[in-house]
Amino acid sequence: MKEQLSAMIDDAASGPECEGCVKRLKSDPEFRATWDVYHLIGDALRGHTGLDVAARVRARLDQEPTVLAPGALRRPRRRPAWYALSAAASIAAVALVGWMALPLFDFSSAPVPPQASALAVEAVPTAQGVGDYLLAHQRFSPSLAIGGIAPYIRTVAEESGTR
Amino acid sequence: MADRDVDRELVERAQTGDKQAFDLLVSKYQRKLGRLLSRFVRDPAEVEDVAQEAFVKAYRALPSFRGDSAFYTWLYRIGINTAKNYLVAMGRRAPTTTEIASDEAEAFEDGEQLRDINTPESVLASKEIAETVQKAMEDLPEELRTAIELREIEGLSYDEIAGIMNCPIGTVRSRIFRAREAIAAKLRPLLDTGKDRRW
Repeated sequence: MKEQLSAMIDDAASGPECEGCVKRLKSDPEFRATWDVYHLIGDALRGHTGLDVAARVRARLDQEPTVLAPGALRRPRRRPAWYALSAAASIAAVALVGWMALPLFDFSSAPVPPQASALAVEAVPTAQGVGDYLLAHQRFSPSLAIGGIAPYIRTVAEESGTR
Repeated sequence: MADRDVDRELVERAQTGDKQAFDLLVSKYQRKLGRLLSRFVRDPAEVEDVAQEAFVKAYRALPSFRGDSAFYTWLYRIGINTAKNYLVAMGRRAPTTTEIASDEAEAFEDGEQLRDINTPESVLASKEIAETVQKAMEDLPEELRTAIELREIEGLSYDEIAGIMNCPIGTVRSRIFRAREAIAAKLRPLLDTGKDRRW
């Protein structure tokens, strides 16, 4: 930990290391003394000696009202990109509408290869069974609220067509 | 986190009511500020008074500090203004030859014209500390001594030191730490004696 403190003094410690050191400086008097000594060594090597007013300043500050200036120096936080959120909401809305409207499309009218048509003819009885099933369970359809009666109409239409 | 960012972190904490964070800044810059103030105020006791007042003023002004300049540039500006106001209050005038523009505070270097601000009773302690540090430096292995000299005296970054010493940055970091610890081990017995520390 002291090596991290040493690096922090030399602006060579990482952010998390600095945060850890600052926290410990507040709670560990010995660690705090190390901070003082390391700075004293640097000052002594540069010829800066002769003044220690830290204790006197500390005593004065104890009588001072606590400074509170939240956010005065706080790093500008990245604001959420509202335009991006709007775009995302629009895409989500379009996707939802598309998903809800999916049952309205009649895929049976889409052109199919001849080979596929042949298979479709053979599958008619099965489609009839599916129609009955959908008719019986159409009230459980998740699209009922918005799609409304459309699936029901389609199912009834198919049923009428088979009769 | 750069040194300026460490200061910024401490200032930010102080601005939200953390007096201990400001205390760390006082501990860090008190000698440098005292050295600067000694260009304006002659009497060592007055230098202490002005330095103390400057720190208290800086603490009170913390809400107005927005980090446009480095903390120590801002502090020095306050220190110089405090010294000038003090001299005016005392009916004295700051010598123009020693005036320092606030913009120069960041690049301020001590010259030989600066006086020793130790009081007579603290001369011995200061001298003892300086000699102890010097002796501890001489006793260091060469690679540790070179690393800490390049850092503390030349002001080089770890990256630059690594280039000069041809070793990884991690080795530089380790060497500087070990050098500091070796010096601190010899310095601590001196610092533990006497309540009124002056160095």
